[in-house]
Amino acid sequence: MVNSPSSGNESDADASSRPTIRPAQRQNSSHHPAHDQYPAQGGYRGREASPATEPMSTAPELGGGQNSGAGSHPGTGSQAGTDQPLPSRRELRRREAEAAAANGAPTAVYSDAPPAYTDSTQVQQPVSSETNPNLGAYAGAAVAGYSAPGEGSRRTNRRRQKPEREPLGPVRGTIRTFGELCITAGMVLILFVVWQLWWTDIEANRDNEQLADKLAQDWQNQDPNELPDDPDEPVVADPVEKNSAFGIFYIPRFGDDYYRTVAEGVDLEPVLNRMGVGRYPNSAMPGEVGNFSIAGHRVTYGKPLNQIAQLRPGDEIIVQTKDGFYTYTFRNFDIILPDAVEVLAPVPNEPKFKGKDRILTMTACNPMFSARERYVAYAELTDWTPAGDGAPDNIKDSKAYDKVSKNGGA
Amino acid sequence: MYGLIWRLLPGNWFVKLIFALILIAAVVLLLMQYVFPVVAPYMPFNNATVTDGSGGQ
Repeated sequence: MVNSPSSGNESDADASSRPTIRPAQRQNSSHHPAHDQYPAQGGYRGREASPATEPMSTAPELGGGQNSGAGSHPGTGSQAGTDQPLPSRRELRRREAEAAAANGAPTAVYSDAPPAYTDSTQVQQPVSSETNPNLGAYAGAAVAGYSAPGEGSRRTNRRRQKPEREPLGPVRGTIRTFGELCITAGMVLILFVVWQLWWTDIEANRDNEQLADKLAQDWQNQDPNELPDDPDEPVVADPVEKNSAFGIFYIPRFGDDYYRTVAEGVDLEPVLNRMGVGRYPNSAMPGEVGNFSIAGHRVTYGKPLNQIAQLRPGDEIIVQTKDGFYTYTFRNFDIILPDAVEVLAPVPNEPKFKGKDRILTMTACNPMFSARERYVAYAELTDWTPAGDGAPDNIKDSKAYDKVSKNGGA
Repeated sequence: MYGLIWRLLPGNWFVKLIFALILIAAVVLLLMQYVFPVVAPYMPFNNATVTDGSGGQ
């Protein structure tokens, strides 16, 4: 017990002042199975003894020798670790790597040893070194030369050496940094996916609610347009500036609480990404004869048109503006290529004709998460309710309309 | 790289940990607030509009 800490410290000092000792020790420990060739020292003694041969066998010839016949020098054991001429660092590193490669975990044997193991050898050591020079050399070297077979000292050893470890060579340093950069890139990609799929929805929905509230409040302070003489003829909404909202979509098929603002323009920023759906410039306004065309995200950014494929013929799409409620009825859908702008014509797909119907065209990406095609849904104006008459029946009791109107909407 | 950052951080391990978490949070915020919105339009999965190819929308 007395020897153990002192020897441990000594080897620590060695290790700190001349860290090149360490590889030699490891090298030796890797050798020990070879020393089972001493049958007389069976059991733990045999194992313990094998490190003792380190100064003799491995110092002159670190790489190769199972030949530890040098047991005949009793005196050298204790100081062997410090007196040997040291090979170059590179050489030591190479040997260490070789040894590590040769047998996977050379230290396992020692760390697995029971605690009593250390004690017994140390007790025996003074006796045996006198009576049996050979064995004494082994045992003495085992304690002193091979610094720390015990678990505790080994552990402190390792911990203490940590700050002092040599910096990585240029190659290993580069490889490690490269690996860390790869991991970082992976994390950033994961974060991007999380942001795109989850965070943009949250942001866009929050923005959209605020925008709808603000819009409803603004409507309160504005006079609706004068109603036409014919009660069946809808008021045509006034055009608005680019990137400003002018209406609210309610689509009961998309959910009882579904509503999204519609704004002028189809730029990603700020309209499509933050203001719900966007109206194609130069298309008709709600209520106008022609094609009132809008675009909206089907995924991400609040996904206003996420369920566009769930629409069934006859489903109603209600657009609320300052003037009232325009009820469009879904007729059919199509899947088109991204450059098929003719779907925005007053008579969809027939750009030559002027048309006399009030059409609503909605475009979204198709398939989801792809820009390969577009999903387009056509609806036709079927009803119109002036703002003064209140909301149409199908949204009057919906959560969405409650939410909008409680802030003073039309 | 990360080892270097860890060594440069002041204090004991607990203080280092707090600093490291703050750094991570700052990086995440920076990415989500400024970098991703710039990158997102180049991603091929949120084009909702039909164009004639000249609009670039």
